[in-house]
Amino acid sequence: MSIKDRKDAFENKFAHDAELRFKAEARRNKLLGLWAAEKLGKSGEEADAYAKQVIAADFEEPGDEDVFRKVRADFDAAGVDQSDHQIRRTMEEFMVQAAEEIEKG
Amino acid sequence: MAAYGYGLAQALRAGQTVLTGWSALPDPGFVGMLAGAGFDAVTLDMQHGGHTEHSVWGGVAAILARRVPALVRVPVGRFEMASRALDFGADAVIAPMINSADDARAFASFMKYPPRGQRSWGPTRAIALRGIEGGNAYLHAANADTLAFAMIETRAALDSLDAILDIDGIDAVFVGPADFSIAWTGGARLDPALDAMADAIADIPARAAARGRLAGIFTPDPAMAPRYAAMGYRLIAAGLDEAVVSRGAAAVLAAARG
Repeated sequence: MSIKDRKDAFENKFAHDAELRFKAEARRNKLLGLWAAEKLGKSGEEADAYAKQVIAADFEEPGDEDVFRKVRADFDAAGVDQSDHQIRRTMEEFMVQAAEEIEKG
Repeated sequence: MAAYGYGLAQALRAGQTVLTGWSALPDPGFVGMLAGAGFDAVTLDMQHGGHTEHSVWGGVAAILARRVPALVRVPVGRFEMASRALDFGADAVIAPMINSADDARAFASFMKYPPRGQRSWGPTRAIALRGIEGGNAYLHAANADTLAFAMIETRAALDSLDAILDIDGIDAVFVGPADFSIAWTGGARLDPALDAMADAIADIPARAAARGRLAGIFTPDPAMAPRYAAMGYRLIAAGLDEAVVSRGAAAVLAAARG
């Protein structure tokens, strides 16, 4: 199954399972934070600290835009070459990965 | 009464900030007034408030009648009461003094049906109050729709925070800054706004979120609520009924005396 098919399957599940969506978002933010940290040249404890900032960014408002804005702004400030589309696609991929990991327990 | 779903879990997981009134006065009529006064939810306090099994039984119904979520804080170690609060229709239970992974595991086991826990079946009252279509509908939804809040209010709890958060069935942590300050100062001082513990308190929501858990906090000072919300606390207790009455009376008297 393509990422899109897997994503659609989860969107359907998320509509009925707010707990799964919430937990998957939390794990997605961590995965995204670690991915972005690597692009920003951070590793080890520095990368973990950055991932925490990405997790905290999700508290700003409901939805995903706060998380996207955080990563976008940090990439721009550091001159990391990633398009909006690449960031959003990575967020989708990590969301699917996170949901699959949670379902496997 | 018409059906009223479990709205608290949904609101918190959607990223909303929920301000809960805090009921210490164990009268269902007064509880109903608090629920109708504009709070997003009402918590019945059995630990330090006057609530008993009987007043929780009536109080949850009085809250749900106003279409707001109901929470119950049980006394220390009263995990059997946690199950009963859910049976009486509560959205969530807050358990004080969860200081280790073992405490958290014991609490969670009373909050979740098998295989995730050992909660015993008997939610007749919850099903009636909520207008749920039969036992299986409740069984399939209860573990996800009702929330277990473990109170973090000692150094031991903070040291074990990640292990507590990792216990299956613990949906959230709830910070008690008053006890936290007593623990932090080695018993020297009660100061819920203590500067020295500010970093630890600011850090808890992100640590909870990294593990797919929610965070809540009690504040005696309502003006602290926006700051706690910005830190990521989604459930904020900022309306102790006794303070609501005394502040309200002060405002009325000030106006009346000119």
